[in-house]
Amino acid sequence: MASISGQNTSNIDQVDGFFTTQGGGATAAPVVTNGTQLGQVSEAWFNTAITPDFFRSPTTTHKFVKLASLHDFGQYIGIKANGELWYYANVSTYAQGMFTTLNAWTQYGTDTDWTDVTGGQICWGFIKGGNFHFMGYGGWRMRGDGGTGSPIYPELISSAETWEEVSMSNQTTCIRNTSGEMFFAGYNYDYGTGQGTTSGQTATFTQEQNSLTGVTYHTAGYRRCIMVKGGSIYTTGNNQNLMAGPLVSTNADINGPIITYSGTDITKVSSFGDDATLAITTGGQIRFAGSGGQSPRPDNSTANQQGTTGQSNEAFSILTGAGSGWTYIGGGKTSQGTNYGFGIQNGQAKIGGTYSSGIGAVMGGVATSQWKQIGSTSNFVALNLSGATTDEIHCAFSTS
Amino acid sequence: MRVEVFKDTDFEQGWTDSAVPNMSFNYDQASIEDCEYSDGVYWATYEPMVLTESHTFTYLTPTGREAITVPPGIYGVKS
Repeated sequence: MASISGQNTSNIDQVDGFFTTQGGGATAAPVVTNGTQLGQVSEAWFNTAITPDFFRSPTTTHKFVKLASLHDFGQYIGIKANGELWYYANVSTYAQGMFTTLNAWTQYGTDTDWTDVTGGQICWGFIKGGNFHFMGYGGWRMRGDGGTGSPIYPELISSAETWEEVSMSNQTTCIRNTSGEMFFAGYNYDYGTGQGTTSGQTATFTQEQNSLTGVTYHTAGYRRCIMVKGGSIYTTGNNQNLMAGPLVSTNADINGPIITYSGTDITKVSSFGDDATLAITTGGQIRFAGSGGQSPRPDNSTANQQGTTGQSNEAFSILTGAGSGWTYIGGGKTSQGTNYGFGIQNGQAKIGGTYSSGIGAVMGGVATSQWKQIGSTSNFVALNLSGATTDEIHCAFSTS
Repeated sequence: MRVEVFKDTDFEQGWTDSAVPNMSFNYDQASIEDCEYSDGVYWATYEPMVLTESHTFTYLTPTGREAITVPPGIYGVKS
């Protein structure tokens, strides 16, 4: 019988770096309960030795407090609680200097001062020791230093500020310093970089035009950035589905950042693509604004909340049916326009949205666009989904 | 705006305007195949930056912050 690394091919799951076909939850092995597991729908980036549509990795015992993945490839980067940086990649495209080992979790260097990582469109952003590093395709002007080069390892770009958090969408980088000031780089589409213009690209990191301070959380979305300041939400950029909040009554692009929700109870916020905004309150509940058609709502209603009163069933009212205990929320948009979300509620991993059905099945859950639990344990601390085309999405889950 | 482009035009590189050094500009098209072709000429389009009032940009240099106030005008015009 044919064998690989001492395992016959019927036991291919047991070979480090190899993945099996997992087309349905009913027959899938249990999702990770003590470590990290990856999954992917479509294409063969994970393992070019086989060509199924669905992949789920074996469990590794490595555990991460932050996980990021690319929109485009089977590439993952995680930060451990001790500040170490690790990666898992099936291909080294645009990162050949970092991803020198394929198909196995591998530490990058020995430094222990990595604090943040984010994945953009074939590029990555990092915070290390308060400095910003960039890796990958530089043509989108997301580097923030005016250059267009494409470094194949995390290259130091900016040490002019002490950086705290970075978030990338497909063509913008949004970065915050320790004073809560926001700087942007990338395409100015729809006022998404907060520069008061929709033309050209912000080539070097430039502070948004209203000089906010005290921003405590932010996330990049499709041609927009959402910021939390004093528990309120500030937005700049695209608002085509009235997802910015109750203080904005039209779907015109927002020449911001301006305050779009004036409550004081928001701790974290997420962009569900260009459809919706999800936010976690101080009480661990979910507020929602935007279009409900692509199942962004963790209460599994598909109703819109686009009104301007902020009261029940209007923009940013609480989704009581989604319960409480939410500690993390994320979301994104595939390059073909389908949106997805993910979060952690009472330690349980949850995903939802139009294109989460297939990946839900891959990870042992239910094949539905509605929000569903992944795995059965309540010890998840990090997860990430990223979409590429409508036929491809990646995910990563890590427990405590 | 519409501008003539050629088969050796670098669509990725774009161009800059010294009046707004923190910005860059590029064609709306990603390659010459995306451009209009008429009478033997390829045409690309782009959108310059139009400021109707003065605007202050605070951007980063390797040594720290730099603030510039740009007067009203049209910037990023392809020369």
